[in-house]
Amino acid sequence: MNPYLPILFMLVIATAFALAAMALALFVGRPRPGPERKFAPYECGIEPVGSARDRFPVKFYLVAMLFILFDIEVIFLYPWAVVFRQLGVFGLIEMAIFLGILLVGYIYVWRVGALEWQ
Amino acid sequence: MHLEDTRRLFEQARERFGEDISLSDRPSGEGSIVVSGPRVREFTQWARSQSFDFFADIGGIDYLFESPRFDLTYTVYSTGQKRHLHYKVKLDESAPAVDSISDIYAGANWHERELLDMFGISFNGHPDPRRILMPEHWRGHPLRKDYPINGEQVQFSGNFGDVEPQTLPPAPGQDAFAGWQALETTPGSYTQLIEPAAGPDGQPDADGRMILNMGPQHPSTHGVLRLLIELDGENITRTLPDIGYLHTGIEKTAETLSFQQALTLTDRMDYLSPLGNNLAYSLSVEKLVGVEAPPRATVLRVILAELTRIQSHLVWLGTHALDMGAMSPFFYCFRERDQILDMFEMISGVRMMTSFICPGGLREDVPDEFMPALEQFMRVFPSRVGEYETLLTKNPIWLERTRGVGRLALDDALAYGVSGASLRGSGLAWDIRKAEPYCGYETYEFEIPAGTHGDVYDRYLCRIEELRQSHKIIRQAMNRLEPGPVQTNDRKMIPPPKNELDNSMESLIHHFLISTIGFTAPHGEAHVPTETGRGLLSFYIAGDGSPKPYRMRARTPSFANLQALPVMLQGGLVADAVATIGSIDIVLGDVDR
Amino acid sequence: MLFDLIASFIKAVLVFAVVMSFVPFLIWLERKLVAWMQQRIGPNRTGPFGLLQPIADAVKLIIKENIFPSGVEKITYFLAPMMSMIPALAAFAVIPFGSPVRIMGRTVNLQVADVNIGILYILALSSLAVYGAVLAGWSSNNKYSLLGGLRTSAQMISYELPIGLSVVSIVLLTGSLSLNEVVRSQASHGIWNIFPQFLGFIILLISYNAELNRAPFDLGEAESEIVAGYHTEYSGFRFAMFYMGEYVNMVTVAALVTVLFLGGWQAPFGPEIPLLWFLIKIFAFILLYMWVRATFPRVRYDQLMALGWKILVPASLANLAMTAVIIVLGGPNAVRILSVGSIVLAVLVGLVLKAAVALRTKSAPGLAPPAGAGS
Repeated sequence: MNPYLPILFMLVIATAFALAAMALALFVGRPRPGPERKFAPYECGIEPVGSARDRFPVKFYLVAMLFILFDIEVIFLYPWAVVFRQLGVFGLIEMAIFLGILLVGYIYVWRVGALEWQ
Repeated sequence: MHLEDTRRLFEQARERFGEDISLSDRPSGEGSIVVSGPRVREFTQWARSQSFDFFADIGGIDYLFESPRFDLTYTVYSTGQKRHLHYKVKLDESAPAVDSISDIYAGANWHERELLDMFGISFNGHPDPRRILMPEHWRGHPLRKDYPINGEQVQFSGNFGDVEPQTLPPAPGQDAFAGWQALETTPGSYTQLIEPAAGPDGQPDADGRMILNMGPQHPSTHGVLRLLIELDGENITRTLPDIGYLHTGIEKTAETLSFQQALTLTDRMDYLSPLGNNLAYSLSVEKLVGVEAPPRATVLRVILAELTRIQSHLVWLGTHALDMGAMSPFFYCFRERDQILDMFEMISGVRMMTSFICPGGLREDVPDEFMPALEQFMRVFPSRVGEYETLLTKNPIWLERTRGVGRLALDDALAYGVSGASLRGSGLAWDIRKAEPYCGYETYEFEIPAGTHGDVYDRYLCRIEELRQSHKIIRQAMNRLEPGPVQTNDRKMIPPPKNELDNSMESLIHHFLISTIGFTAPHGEAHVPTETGRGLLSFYIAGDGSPKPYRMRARTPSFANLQALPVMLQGGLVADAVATIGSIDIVLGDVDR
Repeated sequence: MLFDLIASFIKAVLVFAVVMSFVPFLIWLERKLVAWMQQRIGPNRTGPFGLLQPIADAVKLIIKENIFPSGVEKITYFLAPMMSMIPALAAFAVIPFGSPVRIMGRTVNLQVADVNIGILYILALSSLAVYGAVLAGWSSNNKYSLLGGLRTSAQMISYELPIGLSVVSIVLLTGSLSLNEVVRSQASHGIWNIFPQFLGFIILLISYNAELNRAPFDLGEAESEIVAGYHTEYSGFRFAMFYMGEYVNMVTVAALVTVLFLGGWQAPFGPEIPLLWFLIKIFAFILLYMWVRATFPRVRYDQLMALGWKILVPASLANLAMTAVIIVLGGPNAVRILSVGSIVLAVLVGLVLKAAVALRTKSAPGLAPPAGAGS
């Protein structure tokens, strides 16, 4: 049996539960008519000014990019870690070089202030 | 400040202003300098150069049947010389206008807007001449004496589009609202208030800036405060407070009630410090009428005022910590606060709106159970303060969240009239209890803490220390409490004792009059500054020989403290806004009245 | 074959049922526990000790009106709550919660799916949880939601780095990505990973607190700042879905940490009842998070990012380097040397941080002596 099959079961069960609950809520929940404003987005009791889907600062993208860069490097570490004992000193030195490069990038990112929020 | 001091200052000013100023004996015991309208800016500058560095208030009185009709009382304090100065400007009925002083004292900005709103007095050169408490579209100026009462319909909506502009018929025979048309602003959306900021190249840079409403229905604006915040990401570029959501017209209502009844309104103003408000009001009324409370009442007043300060600070501490995400201190603080409220209930039957301190003394003596309850509270309280501090004072997260956040320079604080712990956090140990003592505070031994950085953390430390100092004062007051009457025996204010009514017709009539109509106050004005948990609170009360206050002006600390908020928020983050609002400890009932 | 299929299906249903029944219990437990810490009573009206309170809440939420606020992106708005719950549930599939048992003459692993890349699978699925927040924030057409969504996404992806780096060190010790192997290796080392990986444990503790969006790192839904963050516009059962997702996530994380660091189902002492010990460890971990929530103020956004990028990432790198070096050089005694080294390193990091804090505190002496009018 494929060992991933049970995961599929789990996913199906979870999804089925979520959908069933949503469907139940749709049937059980009674719609109550209300003014247009009832459906307005909440902004502390005031009708919102401007769009909520405005452009937002590039800072968030920067974090996302940094994450992708570093996360990929972290993922590289996993296969290495699994066979680390077989590789021995060779693996250690190799990964030291790899991590060294990563570290340079990290220090660079820190120095240029990409990690500063304000 | 004594009349003599005012006279001396007047003589000094005379050399420069000549016939443009004159001396007035109002408010009683203090006096004031009456400045002619055109020279008020110059006089303000002169006063500021005479070390009157703290701007407190501009109070307006509409003497409808006098000429000139409007009487503005400017109040400024000298924190160094520990005194204050009133100066007055009298304005004519037709198109009353005077020069704005908001560039000299930044804090005058909102006070002038309030006068514009309430009296229809326009201020030349005011940077932002809009209504402040009433809605934008409001017709008429409520604190004018000829404003028709019950003439308006209150519309409960925060969305200006919903509100129908009101039309009030002009009073027959005369145009009661002469001049207001010119001041009326068009009802419109608040979006115009914040125009997109100019970018570095001078072009409007609306991109990436988001205008966010915080409040009136927001968990951490401590009531119905609305802040319009312009955000660049999470950084605040500009803030515009919008107040008036809790405006209940207390100053106007007081004019229709007797002095005893108006007392109950003061409870509801700063609802976290009712006894402090009672005290400030009672002192002013007593000064106006000319009576004094007996010693036992004064000592009890000190005890109750300090208890009120403690419970007010406890609410501040709890909610401030809650705003910062620390849930638990809130409940610990409310545990002790409840102990205090239980005591209030014991003495007055009411937990919050006690009205227990009243003109002439106290409503009645405290019951026998009060002192043991107080003693028990006094015994546990110091260790409880330590408990709060354990959770916060040295907590690295707390330090990071509060240090260097919401900074307010001392000069700014004084110019804005920021008082209380918010001012002391900025480094000046100025407290009315020390500077201009009342209720015998000069005889108590206590210290006024002051910070150095003017940030949220220093304000926090100041208030925590004030908890301890108040505890110390209460202990001393308990030791000097002696039996005696708690009401003045001055028959001007207090009805004769019951047993006299059986033998004396005059006493019966007098009792009847005071009980039904109320005691009367002479023509005049009176003012006593006090220090509540939030800062400088003073009532400026005018009497006209009737049993009702002709005008009750409340100079509330929160109103002034809130005005400095945009300065503190500049450049901070949204999370800092929350921390800063918590740290200036506003009560919206105190702001809007 | 058929037996395996049926067995794994039954296991999946059972695990789902147990985890889902944990949720109301945990909600009740948190409310009671925090109430107790705050001198309150907590829920006590519905059922004995208020135990039925979460059920009552669920019923209330499910009969609420279904509101689609105006201007929402309907599909993403609808999917977002599920996106936050389904991955959390699915992640539990690879958690081994007991030693294999024999049923009808066959060995059955107490684990829904024994895949050999269990660790990677869990990391991958927990990364998916970020979509729930981001989609909810974006689709709601609400500024608070947008801010909350952005905050949460940036926070969660940032804290995945220290998590990933700390888990690599565990893989170094184990030499396998299978969670079953991790437990077995701890048994064979005779010492739980919490000792040789003490620093990693601390880092993971903090990072998962942020990953779970729990106080003091609950910035995406910081009610005092941005009302309710990304789920401001959610009501009824869609809101409940977020809420349940949060608690399911908590159970999953607690189980993962138990497996990675606390020896899984192994008994530290006393009777060998694997399932019981597993539950005890999970609950100990969850109680710790609840305690933290009741104690600390919330950190600020930039401080949270700084903590992740500037402290936890370098610390976990140092931990990784130390682990790798000692495993190569230490030979058979590596785990024992690591146990000492890791605690030393953790103390060292702690001291450096403390010194940094003290240095900053020094520049702010606090209250000045009373001056001016006060003297």
